[in-house]
Amino acid sequence: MKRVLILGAGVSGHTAASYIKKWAGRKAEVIVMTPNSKWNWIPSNIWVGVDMMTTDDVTFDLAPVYEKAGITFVQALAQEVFPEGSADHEKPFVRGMRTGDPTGEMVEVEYDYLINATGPKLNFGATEGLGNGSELGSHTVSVCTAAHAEHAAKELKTQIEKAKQMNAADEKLRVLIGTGNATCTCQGAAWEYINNVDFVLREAGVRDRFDLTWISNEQVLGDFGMGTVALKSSGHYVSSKTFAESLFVEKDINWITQAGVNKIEEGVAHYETLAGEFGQEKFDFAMLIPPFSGVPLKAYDKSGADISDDIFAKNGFMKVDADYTQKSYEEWSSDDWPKTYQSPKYDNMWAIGIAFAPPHFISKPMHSPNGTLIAPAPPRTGQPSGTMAHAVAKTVVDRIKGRKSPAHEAPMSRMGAACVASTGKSLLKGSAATICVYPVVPDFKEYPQTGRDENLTFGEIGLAGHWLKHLLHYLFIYKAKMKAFWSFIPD
Amino acid sequence: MSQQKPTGFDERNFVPRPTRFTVFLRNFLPFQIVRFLILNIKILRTVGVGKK
Repeated sequence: MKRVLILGAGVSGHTAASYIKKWAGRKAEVIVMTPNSKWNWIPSNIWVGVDMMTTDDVTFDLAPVYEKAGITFVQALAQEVFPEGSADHEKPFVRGMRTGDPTGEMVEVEYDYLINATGPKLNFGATEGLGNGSELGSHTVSVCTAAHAEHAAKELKTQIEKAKQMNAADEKLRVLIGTGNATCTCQGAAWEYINNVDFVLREAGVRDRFDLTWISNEQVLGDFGMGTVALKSSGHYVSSKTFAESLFVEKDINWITQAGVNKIEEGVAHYETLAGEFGQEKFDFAMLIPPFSGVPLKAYDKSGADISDDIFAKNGFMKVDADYTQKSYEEWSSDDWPKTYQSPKYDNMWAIGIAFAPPHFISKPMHSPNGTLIAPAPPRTGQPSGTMAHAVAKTVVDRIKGRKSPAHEAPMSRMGAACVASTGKSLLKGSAATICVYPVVPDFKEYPQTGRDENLTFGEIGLAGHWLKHLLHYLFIYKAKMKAFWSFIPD
Repeated sequence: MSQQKPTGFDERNFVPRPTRFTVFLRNFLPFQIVRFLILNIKILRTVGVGKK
């Protein structure tokens, strides 16, 4: 029996674990090591953040689900990888620290195959005042975890109560939502959140007492870290810039783009723009997404020498089969992106989801005259994570079963992705922007004008999108709980 | 309009905005039921092409 160790139980790790166990059955011992006791459907955190869902609605306990599926659950934070084993271990292993009971105890788990699906470290500490290390600070809120979102909902509720006590002559309350650093990714979550905040303020009848402002490191609104997308929408091919701006103008939301937030103080966000100017934006309520970095994993060879630089990129994400050669933007190619997500150094290691190191940005990186890089990092969460996990799970199962077939591929340059971005949660009055792109990473050889297939890339706003997002919430939680026929639900 | 909003000619004043009819259709149940079905098919098509 081969042992597969999966680090992380987010979308990608959980997907890989469930498929490997299903396909390999008793031929594989699947172990999931994750510091969290609960699985979280992160796309619905934005609804927790506006008090339209609870933490219990978006999370469930992993232990009973894994027990039923025959997957071993180790609640621990992975800290060190020994891909060649050590003096004490013949086989490769991972050392971690238990975060469940008993907390703090070290644990070592040997493996035959390792899948790194640790997700990101929420790097609040990268921006002064945003937080300390991976801990959220006190000036702003976040929706990156269910607990953060619950806290955000309480703070938002306080602002709504304050607005209800206001007189017409009082100064409006200021809401600032967006990215909290010059190189953030995940603009989509913040974009959904600002639209949902707008929706709940309207529902509460206090929208006219708030000024809503979007701040982000995107070159233009609607970039989303994908270098802007040409969407087929209402009989036209329109840029995602126009698509997003139209919605913001309709909802009376202001926006500041090309801004790298560099300091947060009580009620004030300081930022630098691509033009090299420095500005500040006051706020009464702010939700700013932190930048992501790889989780702090170290790697050692058989002799105990530190080989972290061989395995991981400088930002902490794991190197895979991508082309990491330093190139100018003009030389970037969709072929630079990984296909199998396998480590080039150890053929029994993979990294999927946020955990793999992208070869470069998708959006054109821009620098201010002061030399500050202000550009969104490439998104690789959600559906692409699941697709990568599916492909890697197939590869691992092939290896376990002794098949000599080549590794399965799921390059983002040949991957279609659907993003259903909520703009208001209500069964009859809600709406969402459904945005589909193919491919995620633009391929200018195949599609010279926009880099993407114009027939498969589209966007639409409406109630149907909300139904879809709501349906996906229940479908994916059902699938993640591995209930009957779960594998028939697409990734 | 908030104070930060531009006055006079500015690109933001001329961003395409939906007509009242478009806004109405976004929440008009019969239309949205049809769009729901179409959206599902279109998404499966986009996502499915990559999986091939």
